[in-house]
Amino acid sequence: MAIDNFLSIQGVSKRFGGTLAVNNVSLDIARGEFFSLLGPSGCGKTTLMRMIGGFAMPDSGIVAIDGADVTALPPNARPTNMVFQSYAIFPHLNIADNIGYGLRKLKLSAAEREKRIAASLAMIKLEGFGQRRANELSGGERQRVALARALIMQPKVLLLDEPLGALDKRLREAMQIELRELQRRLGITFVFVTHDQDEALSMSDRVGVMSKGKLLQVDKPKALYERPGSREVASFIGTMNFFEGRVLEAAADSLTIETKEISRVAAKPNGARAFAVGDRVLVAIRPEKLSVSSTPASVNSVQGRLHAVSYLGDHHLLQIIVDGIREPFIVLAPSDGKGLDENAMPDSAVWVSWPADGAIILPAA
Amino acid sequence: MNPRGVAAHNPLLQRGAILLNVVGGRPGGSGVAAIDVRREPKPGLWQGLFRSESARGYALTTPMLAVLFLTLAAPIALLVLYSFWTQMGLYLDQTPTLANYERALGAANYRTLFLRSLGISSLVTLITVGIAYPIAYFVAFRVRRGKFLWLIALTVPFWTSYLLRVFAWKVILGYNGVINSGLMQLGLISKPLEFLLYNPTAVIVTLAHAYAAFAILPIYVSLEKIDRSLLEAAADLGDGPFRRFMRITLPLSLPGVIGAALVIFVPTTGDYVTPALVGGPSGTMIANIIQVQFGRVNNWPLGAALAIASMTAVALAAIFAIQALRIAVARVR
Repeated sequence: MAIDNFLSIQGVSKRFGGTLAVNNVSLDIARGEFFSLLGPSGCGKTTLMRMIGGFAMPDSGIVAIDGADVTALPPNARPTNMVFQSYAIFPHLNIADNIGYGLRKLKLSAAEREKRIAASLAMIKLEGFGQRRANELSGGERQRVALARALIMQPKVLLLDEPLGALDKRLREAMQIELRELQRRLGITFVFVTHDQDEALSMSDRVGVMSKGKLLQVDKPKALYERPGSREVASFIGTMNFFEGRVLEAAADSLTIETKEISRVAAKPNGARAFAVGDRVLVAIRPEKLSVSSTPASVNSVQGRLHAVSYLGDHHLLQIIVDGIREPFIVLAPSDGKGLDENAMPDSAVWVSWPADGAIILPAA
Repeated sequence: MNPRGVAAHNPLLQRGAILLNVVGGRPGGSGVAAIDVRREPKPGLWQGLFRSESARGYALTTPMLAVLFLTLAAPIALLVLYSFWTQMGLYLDQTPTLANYERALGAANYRTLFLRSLGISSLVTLITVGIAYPIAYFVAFRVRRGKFLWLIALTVPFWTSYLLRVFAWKVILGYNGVINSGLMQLGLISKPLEFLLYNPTAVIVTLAHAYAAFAILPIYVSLEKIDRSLLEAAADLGDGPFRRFMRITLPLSLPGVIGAALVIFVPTTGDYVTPALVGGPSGTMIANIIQVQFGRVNNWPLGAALAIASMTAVALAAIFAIQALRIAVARVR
């Protein structure tokens, strides 16, 4: 995949006191891309975004937008605009003046200014709200005002700092779709910071996963979910069952892995990584790839004890304890009865199994 | 609003309703209402008072209101009363008259004093707020650790008495004072400068210093409250540091600035200690004359009229200045 470097971050680091908040991150984002930075709080994603916006200066490295080095420019001289986590609506101005705040620089006529503000209010479906104050708006409305105020500047890159974090679930999901649609329509490059993996996966063209200041992996959502590159990425995105092993046999399209607890495991190599006999590896299996039965299956079966069953509507979430493995296996079984006997009792013995291509093989850290 | 809600929150209304039922008790019609009342949990007067938010509010403010009434409202009412009377030697003529006000507002020397007092306190307010704002800004935005220590340090001058601070300025500005002897030691002047003390400038310098901390604190509080992301948003939307200050920081700190200005302007207009000690004849202010009327001259009615007129002038000037400031800041957008 050819990525043009519309927004280019090269070797950027930032230190706060004794901690390296952003550790030598390089990243290229394409024009018109919806890019998400995903990671737990404190992973450096917000700091990285603030360096794109000019609110923090990198200690080293370069930030370039559309071919121009902006590393040393203050926020007011950058072709970026930001939607703040707190929305930062100016409390002493009405909504129209908030949205039109940045237009002053363009020296528009009063009529042109009014026209643009009206169009902007229409875009966020808040016609007639121009004279209201920020404290008269709901959280969702404030969020849209913050968005309109940034977009009216027609930035080359729009930065969004967890903009949906303060909204309730239903509104958040509606805004995800609305934001995605808006981004496609305007063709503006979005850099979206979030700690919510569902949000990142559902909205983005590509996602960058960060942890402890490092950019671990950049990929399309599907690839991130199906082919995580490391244990950290695998465990941060979705739920994952892990156990360790050693490669016993390695062929072009099959691997045999020996583990302490589950005898031999048949697997297929996935991704570009090649393994050699004797390599220590991590076997990672998604809950939905596992199936549960009362008898062993032909491949990759392990016996355990049913520990807990949670009913989730269309699925059952099962926890199965296997002797020797610290974390219980998490299994997502369809509720249609094929997965497991309806009357399975806690503590009953069950077999957990998975197909050879159901596991992701990662190098052990 | 639902009438039941009103009744539940207003014990008097509840009582009134019951009373009406008892007094105007017609058989039949009132019976229904009476049952209705009995069904509602009937709060006693005390219980109702404890439940009522506003009653609790009044209960909490009552001691202060009582003190204010006794020490402020009552004396002012007396002052107003006095201002319409006439001093006849040792005897007070209580026939209402406007003669005192005629004299207070009409006589040229009083008018000069009024204008000078307003002028001096306006200048003091401008200078003090002008000096206090950068200090408050520095502590609020630039000091990261030890803000508390900074605030304490800024109020240290207040730990000595007002009178001592005024005398300190006398020592600094005096004929043989710090400035004069310093300049003479350096050989810059051959004889002491006489224009330093006993004039309006000395009053302004002394008052500005005396009220500095009063100005710093309210401005600091209003600056400290400003959400930093608002400043980042302004920068993000294209404002440089100066523009951002004029459009965001200043308007949002305006309540603090107005508070500081009032806290300085009102008492300095009525200050008589500083002008008496460092003002000299040209630095005399209206409060000095009022003091003389209540003291040596013993013309309380004229003193009262001067005081009321001075209060009114201060109030009008303050309201005018605040409105002008608000409009000016609003125009910056």
